[in-house]
Amino acid sequence: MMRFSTLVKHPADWMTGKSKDNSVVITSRIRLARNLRDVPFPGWAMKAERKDILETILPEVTELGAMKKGFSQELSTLDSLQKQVLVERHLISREQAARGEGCAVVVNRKQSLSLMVNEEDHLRMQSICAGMHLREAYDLLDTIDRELETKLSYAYDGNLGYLTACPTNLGTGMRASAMLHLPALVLTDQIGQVLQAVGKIGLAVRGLFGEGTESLGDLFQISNQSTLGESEEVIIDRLERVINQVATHERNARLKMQEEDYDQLADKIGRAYGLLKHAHLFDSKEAFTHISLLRLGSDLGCFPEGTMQLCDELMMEIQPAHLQLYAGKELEPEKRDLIRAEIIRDQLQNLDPPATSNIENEVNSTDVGDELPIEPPID
Amino acid sequence: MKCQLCEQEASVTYTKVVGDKSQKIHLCADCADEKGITNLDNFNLSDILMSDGEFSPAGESAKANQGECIECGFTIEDLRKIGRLGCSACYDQFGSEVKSMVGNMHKGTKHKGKVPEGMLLVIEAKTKLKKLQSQLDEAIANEEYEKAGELKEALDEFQKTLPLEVQ
Repeated sequence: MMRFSTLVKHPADWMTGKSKDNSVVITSRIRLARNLRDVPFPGWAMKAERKDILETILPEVTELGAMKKGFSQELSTLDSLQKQVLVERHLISREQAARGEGCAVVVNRKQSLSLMVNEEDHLRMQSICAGMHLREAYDLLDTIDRELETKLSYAYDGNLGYLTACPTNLGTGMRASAMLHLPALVLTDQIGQVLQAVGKIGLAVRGLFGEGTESLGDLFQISNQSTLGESEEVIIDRLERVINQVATHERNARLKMQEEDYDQLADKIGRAYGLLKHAHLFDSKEAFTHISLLRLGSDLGCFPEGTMQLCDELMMEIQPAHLQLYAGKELEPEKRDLIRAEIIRDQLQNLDPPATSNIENEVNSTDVGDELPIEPPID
Repeated sequence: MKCQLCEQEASVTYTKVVGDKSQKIHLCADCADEKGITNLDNFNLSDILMSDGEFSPAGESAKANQGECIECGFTIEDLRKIGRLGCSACYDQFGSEVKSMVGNMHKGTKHKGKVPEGMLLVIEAKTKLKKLQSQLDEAIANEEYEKAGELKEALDEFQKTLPLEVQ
């Protein structure tokens, strides 16, 4: 079994951007909700019942071939800082971190699969990969799900599909989402329009940590809301189309800025670089804002290869629990701002100033015109 | 015209007229039966559509069988308060309440996604196995040895075809 310290020391490939195609769509994620038949859902179960459920599900989950030598832990054995680190790595949900006895998480060695027992549902399975690969992420989970369904008695109904604690997850029990980095749409004030259009199609847009969280560092999560009445394939297809459209708008906005607002863009990236290299106090929000511009700059070629990966690592390392884990103790917010700036300066010490002349775009970009920001997909 | 509750073809149209206002709803035969529309005294349009978010049980009979889940004790008031259910059996118990919630949440009301075929096969196999076993026990108890022999053979034969999970 993998230890917590090993897990923390070796972040997953998808967390640190070890993928070439993730400059706009950073990660793709699929989550499936499953429950056992006729046993109270976790939120309604007594402690003893929750433990029974855990004893039924946990062995089947840890014995899966895909989870071999992974990380398996009852959440009651982790302290709140450790749980928060898992949340910041998107390996458990904030809801799961808040739960007590009878809950567990199993993560595979590559940290691409995470199975939560007794979250809102008896079993929440998630698969994450870098870039725009919803289908691959789904296939991976589907295989596991088919293996588990022969061993666990799932609550399933011919009409309502997989039965879940909350009716918003009925049917497929599937939430598919992608994390997007959209700095150019934010800088050019197009983001509101684009996100509104996405919302009108019935998809949800959220910040970095899902429901109820604000957007940091121009990061946005787009996901399906409806889970019943359509197949997994149809839901993923639509989401994929919309996300690709949003990503295209972001790329076009980047090109247009390179062409029309070169000085502005170079100034912003240069200032972000200067602040990140020299400031001594950073709250999360400000740090994310500048790292976002650094990330944009590296996509536009003004930093050496690997800088985008560095940005993605930084975005993880500067979050509160990661900071405190790094410092080895709990820290007051003001103290965190100091350590945060220290980590950033340390990570960027060998990064040369931006070669902003690289980003000047002489070639005519694709015409983005004044068309609607997004077209509803044709069904 | 499709049923307003599920996606089957609607065959019943119910019109309610109060004063100079009228409201119409289209349902399929199954949903109409379930809603007790054949008993016209005893139901209310808003119960079915929940469009105004208010729900008033149609009559005492509805109240009695909707009150509490036999499996886990969860009540319909709990459901209305927290918007979640207690266990999978609650979906049978509070079926109509759930149906009315689901329409506003999702693109449809009928599951069109994955079917856990593996699980259904296992359940089917287990049921058949149990049935053969009890027939065998019965034959032995009745001293019908010839029949028992045949059943034993059938049972062994069937067991060989089963996937590991069931054996």
